[in-house]
Amino acid sequence: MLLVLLEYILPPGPLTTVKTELTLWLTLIGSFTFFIAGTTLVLKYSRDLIRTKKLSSVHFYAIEFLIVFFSYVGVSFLTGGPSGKTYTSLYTNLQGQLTQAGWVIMAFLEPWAAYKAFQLRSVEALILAITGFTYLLFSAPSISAAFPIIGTFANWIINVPSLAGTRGATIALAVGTILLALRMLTARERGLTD
Amino acid sequence: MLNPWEVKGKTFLEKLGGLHWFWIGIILCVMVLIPTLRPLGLPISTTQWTVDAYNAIKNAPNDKVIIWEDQWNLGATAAAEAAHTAVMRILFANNKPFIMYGEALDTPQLQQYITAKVLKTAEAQGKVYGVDWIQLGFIAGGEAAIVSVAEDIRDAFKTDYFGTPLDQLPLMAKIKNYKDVGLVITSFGSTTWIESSVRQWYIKYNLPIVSYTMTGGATVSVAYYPNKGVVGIIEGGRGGAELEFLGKVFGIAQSQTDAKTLSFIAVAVMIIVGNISYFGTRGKKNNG
Amino acid sequence: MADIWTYLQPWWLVIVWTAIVSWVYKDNRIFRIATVAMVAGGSANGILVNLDSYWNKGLLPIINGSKLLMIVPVIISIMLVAVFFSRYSWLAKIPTLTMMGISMGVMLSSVIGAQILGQIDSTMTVISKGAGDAFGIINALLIVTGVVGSVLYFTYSKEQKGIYGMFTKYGRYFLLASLGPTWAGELSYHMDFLIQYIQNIVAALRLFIPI
Repeated sequence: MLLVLLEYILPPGPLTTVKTELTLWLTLIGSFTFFIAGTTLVLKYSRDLIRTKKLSSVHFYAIEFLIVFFSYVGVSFLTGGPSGKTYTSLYTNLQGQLTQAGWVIMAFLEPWAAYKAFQLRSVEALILAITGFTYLLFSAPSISAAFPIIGTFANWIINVPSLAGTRGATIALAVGTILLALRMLTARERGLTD
Repeated sequence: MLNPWEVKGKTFLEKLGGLHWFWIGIILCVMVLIPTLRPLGLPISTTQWTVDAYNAIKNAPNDKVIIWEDQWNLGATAAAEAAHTAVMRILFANNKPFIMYGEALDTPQLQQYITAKVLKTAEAQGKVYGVDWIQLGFIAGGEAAIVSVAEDIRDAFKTDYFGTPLDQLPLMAKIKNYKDVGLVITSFGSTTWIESSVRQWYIKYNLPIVSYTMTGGATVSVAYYPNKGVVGIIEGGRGGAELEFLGKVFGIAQSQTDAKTLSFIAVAVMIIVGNISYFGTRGKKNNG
Repeated sequence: MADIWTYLQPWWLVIVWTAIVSWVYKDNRIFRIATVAMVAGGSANGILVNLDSYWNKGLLPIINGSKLLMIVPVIISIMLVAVFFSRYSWLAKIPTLTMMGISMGVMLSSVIGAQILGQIDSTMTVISKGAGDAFGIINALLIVTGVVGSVLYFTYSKEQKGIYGMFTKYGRYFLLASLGPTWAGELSYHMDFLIQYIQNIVAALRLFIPI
């Protein structure tokens, strides 16, 4: 951390090369963490199956996980890697669709949450409801084309009260981040090291 | 789990506020179905920040390359398709060479899906991969990956997404590091990534950024607009519709806009109904 | 084959999406099967995509001698495997802290410029920009007081009561004003998927019914 910070303060020089190299190392180590994540899941489901004496419906999901996992790996290795047409087609038509479908559930739940929660019981709820309601109507370009006042009001919300709130949160977050980094540098933040 | 056939409440007003999410979702499905079956062709309004984003792309220096740093993933295709397609078509239409890379695991698959669609359009006719655009693939590391790409793109990526060594791609001769970049398009399916982009691309390397965020992300991006790094904002599906209108690259956004208009009106009505139920039952409780 | 897929694909999409969406009616086994498949696909892709990247950037330069220095991050990253062995799990802290240190350094070096000084500068200059008319002055005052109030809301070293409490409450209103559009944006984002789902169903039906 200190090396990178020093590099920023000093004029470009040898430390710039060091910083560039360190960031490259981070992308490599970051890549490896995905292996660990995938391996953890495979090991977990494999252990569930190996250690069981009698298969039950719970183990069905472990078998399914391993079949799907190794199917993707097999297709990738046999057909030109993850950038190949076959793997891309399989991934797009299965994984891509499953992940997108998950968001449809939110499209059912969020309006219901608004219907329940945007009740004007207090000043805070009133502000949340008015700003949310206005921006919701603004998010459909046709509504603000038909009623320009909605666009004007939404722009005012984004450029004045919302901007003030966001700026305040941004500054507070940045100060908090600096404090956390200082605590880590002075070994007072023990969360990860212990 | 709640039973969708069970409506809580004794009086009509209480029942009005006790609908299950399933029925509210069905109402929204009907609202979406109407324009899907019969397109309405409703008008589209534009916002200043999308106009600025469009102009920034159109007026990007011709002797430099545009970097498209993409964090949208394949699981967001429905939300990303309109704006991604519009941005790519506008880049092609204005002959702006660009390099795109992904910072989410399945961003490359999304980029391939979009590219396959865009290559069938008029704007992409005559465009050659490796000369007009390059897809570099995935890089891990978040904010540090930006530094890695900005300082030396050849160190950050050894090959493109398809395994071709970078030296074999003519466009790579035009770019070594941030000094050869004219504009950064940073696209992300969240609201807060823009802070990382501004910290690196703008503060460190003084490059202008077009923020292509999910809908609602303008609340954070606007803190850096128009002269603290962000020169324009493309806000999710709405931004995609506006870009299609501005760049005359019409696509799927029109149908989405029609469906959203009706469904958002339905959501607004549901919020009003919820409040009618709340105040109606509260009034009865106070009187009773 | 391509012709058959043209007819099959719309129905395939409807089946796959409905397997997940069925949860909104009732939790069921088909939903769980679909989510397990989703997790499996995601983790498989995570490994495969990074295998390419790790080989090209890390291992190949060592093997062909072009950049032997890459042996250092390769060794550091391999230490992550120690997380599977409880006796040596302390080794996994080394790559974790390495990543954290570099990330924090990269972020911290510009956080003051971007998120503190830049934001304060923008907040203050809005006063001079808004001085042209009464509405501009009111907006400028709202922004300045809102920013100060919002920052004060996040300070917990002093109890938020009395006049100070009133000011932090005022700041809380501005924070809520930024949450409203965020909620609306999230809904709009998720609505795109509902629209896609309905369009998938209509596209599948249109193969057989002229609607």
